[in-house]
Formats: sequence, C-alpha cells, structure tokens
Amino acid sequence: MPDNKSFIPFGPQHPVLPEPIHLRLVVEEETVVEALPAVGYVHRGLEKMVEAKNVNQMIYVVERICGICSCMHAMAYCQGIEELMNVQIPDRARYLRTVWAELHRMHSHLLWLGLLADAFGYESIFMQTWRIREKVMDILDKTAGNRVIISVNIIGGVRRDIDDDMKKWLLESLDSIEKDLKEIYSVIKDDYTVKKRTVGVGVLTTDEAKELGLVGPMLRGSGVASDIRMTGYAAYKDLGFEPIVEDGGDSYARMMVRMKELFQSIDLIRKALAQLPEGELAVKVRGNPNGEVISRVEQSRGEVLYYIKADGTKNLNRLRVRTPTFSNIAALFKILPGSSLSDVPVLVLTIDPCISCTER
Amino acid sequence: MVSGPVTRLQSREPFEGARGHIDLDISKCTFCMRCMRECPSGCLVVNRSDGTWSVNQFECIACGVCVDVCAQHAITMSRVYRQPAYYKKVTTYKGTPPVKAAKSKGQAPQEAVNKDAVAKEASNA
Repeated sequence: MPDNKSFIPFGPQHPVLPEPIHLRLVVEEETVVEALPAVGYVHRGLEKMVEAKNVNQMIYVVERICGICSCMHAMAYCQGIEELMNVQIPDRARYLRTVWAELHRMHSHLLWLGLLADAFGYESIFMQTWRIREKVMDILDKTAGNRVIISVNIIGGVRRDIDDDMKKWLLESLDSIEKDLKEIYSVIKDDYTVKKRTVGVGVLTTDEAKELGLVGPMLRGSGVASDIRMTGYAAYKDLGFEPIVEDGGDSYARMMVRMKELFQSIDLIRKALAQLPEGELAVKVRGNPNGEVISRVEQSRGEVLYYIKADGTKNLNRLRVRTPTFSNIAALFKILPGSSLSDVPVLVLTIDPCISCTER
Repeated sequence: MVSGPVTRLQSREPFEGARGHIDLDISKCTFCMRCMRECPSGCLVVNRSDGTWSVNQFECIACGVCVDVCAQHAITMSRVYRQPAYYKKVTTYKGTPPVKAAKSKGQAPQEAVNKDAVAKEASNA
C-alpha cells in the first residue's frame, strides 16, 4: 500500500467483548485513524413480536432483550402500560420494584468491573468481582426464583413478596457484599497501573458529552448531573436520591462513578427495605390499553426510553425501545480516532456496551 | 480476599420457590384452556375434545404464568430443573373433560365429575 494504513478487525469474537460487535480499525503505525462499524450480529426482531403476542405476554419478551438489565426493561414496559390505563400500583409493589432494580444495577456494575480488570490483564480481580456477583445472584435466586431473568413485574404490580425472614437474610448478605467490595475498591482506586491506563484515556468534555447525546455514567463522568431516578418513578422520590457526578471526563472518572454507584445501590436497598410498607402486591387490571405513552427508566447503563402505542385491541400497535448503549455508541466513534491500538479494549469497555440491547 | 478455594464442588440444593419445571394434577383440570391462552411461549397444548393436556418441557420458560392463572390450582411449579434428555419430549396427560349433561323435561340435570384420570408420557423423537 502506498501509505502506512492497515486494517485490523476488532471482530465479533474478542476476549474483552461481552457481546458481538464488529469494528474495522484503520490503523497507521499503532495509532487508530478511523473505526468502521458493522452491526447486526444479535438482531432478533423483538419489536415485531407485538404482532404475535398480546399485551401481557409481551412482558416476558421484553425482559429477554438483555440479560443484565432485564428487570428494568420489564419495569419500564409495565410503567408505560400502567400509565396508559390509569392504574395506581400499591406502595409495597413500588418499593419491591426498586429493590430488584437496584440489585440488577449492582450485578451489572460488578460484571462490568470484572471485564474492565480483565481488559488490563488483572485476571484475579476479574474472578474476585464475579465471586461477589455470585452473592447477588444468590439473593435474586432466593427472592425471585431465578438468577438472571426474574419475571417479577406484571401490569399492576409484582408477583412475589419478600417476607421478614428473607429480608433479614438479604440484609446480612448485603453486609458481607459491602465488606468484600470495600477491599476491592481500595485496591483498584489507587493502583499505579490502573491509573496509568485509564487517566487521560478517552476524554470527553462536558460540552462534547451533551452534544453527542450521551446517557448514564458516561454523562455523569463528564460533570453533568443528570439521572432519570431524580424524576421519582417507583419509590425513588421517597428515598432521597442524589446522583453521583465526577469531573474529569476520562475513563478513570467513569470507573469511579460506577464504583460509587455500587455503594449507593446498597444504601438504597437498605433504605427501601427499612421503609417497606404493608399492603397488597398487585391490583387487578382489566381491559386493553389505548393511546400512546413514553416511559423512561434509569438502567445500569443509562436512560432507556419506551414508546408504546396501543389502539384498544389486545395487541399493541407499536413498541419502540431506545436503549442507552444506542446513544453511547456515538461516543465510541469520537474517542477511538487518535488513540493508541493498545487502548482500544479499554475504550470499548468504558462505554459499557450491551449490544444485545442495542440491536433488539 | 485470599483465603482458599471458593468453588463449590457440588451444586447446592435449589432454594424454596425456585422455578424449575411445571407439573400437572390432571384430576383437578377442568379444561378451561386459560393456561394455553396466557402462556407466553406457546408450549401448552390443551385439547378439550380428546381430553389431553400436553406441555413441551423444552420450550417452557418456567415463567409461572400458568400456575398463577389456573383457577383450580392444578399446575404446580417444582424446584428441580428439568432433566436433560437425548430427544425433546412432550409430556402428555390424559383426563376426562367435564361433560354438560343434556336437560330434558322432568329430569334434574346431572353433573359429571372427572374420574379415572390416567397420566401417560409420550415421547416424540
């Protein structure tokens, strides 16, 4: 070739990628010049299933868009349909939904932390964070019946209850999780090699973050205090929630946002369980929805937006899901050009890609 | 943090309330077909004219919706996950659907009850 460019496929199969995405990197002597994407490896056509499944059966399809944030997808869908049909869910159901959503946020951030450590080559921290994640999986298994896809949200409330024995066991498990997390936090946050590889890598200023339309920890790591939990859906308005913001805009700031959110989730679960009100679990809902609604929920990776259009029959007219990674991928094509080839795994993982959410 | 191996050498018992697979008590089934209508994955096939109720255990997602909607509480969720098999099996139960007795002049209508229910398993290769 007349110039020094070569193409390196950062393929659908790669040790650091949790899900398949293909980037064709145009590299000129160890510096990435351009990144050309090719997506579509996990597209399953789940939005088209509204033509085949009725409104209640769609809950179980929507949960399976992503395995990591599955309960929050079902929560956003149920909140949208409940708003269309003017249904008020009981207080106990709101608090229980919050508890399960925060548990999902914890296990998502622990998974991400393990993958990031593995991208540097720190395999032991990868194993230790996933060992802590197994305790969260046991909590989900005991309270909801299943480890990953928990199927507890229905239109009108929740299906399962957390009684007093389970509450005590849950709080003890949270104490042991917090103890292990503090050890890992103190190891990672001051380590010389971690700082060398993340500080100053993938910098996005506040204006750039707002212009690209980023969501979630990417936005909060660049100094913007924006979190959908501040609007107060489910039980967040009673729990006194403040978003965690870091300045700096580089990968280190985003890592600190996610680690501090882990501790914040443990506090939110403890507060929610202390204030858990008595009452029913669900209200009976009859009839079909009619109209259009937008519902937004803060998933672990950012804000997810559900657009639901119904026309009074038992099948929905249209369901459109705008997942957070869909917005954050724009940042990838801003921070990759100009970076060194060995920084590519860290940069791809710092946006927390969930490709199965992106290509439903 | 470093304190010895943490891997369990045998898998633990499933917790109470874990969702494994579904079983049916055919003597309680009235063939109302509500479970078939509400199933999200379409693994239940209920035939009222033949009196058969079959579930494809390998397509069942163990969501528990059929357990919740059955008015007679005939379907139960077991903790143990379904057993692996060489071929996909469809489990069929045979029962007697309730028969509406014909009303004729001067006679009191009789109600039929389900009895002599027999469960048999048929395997499809």
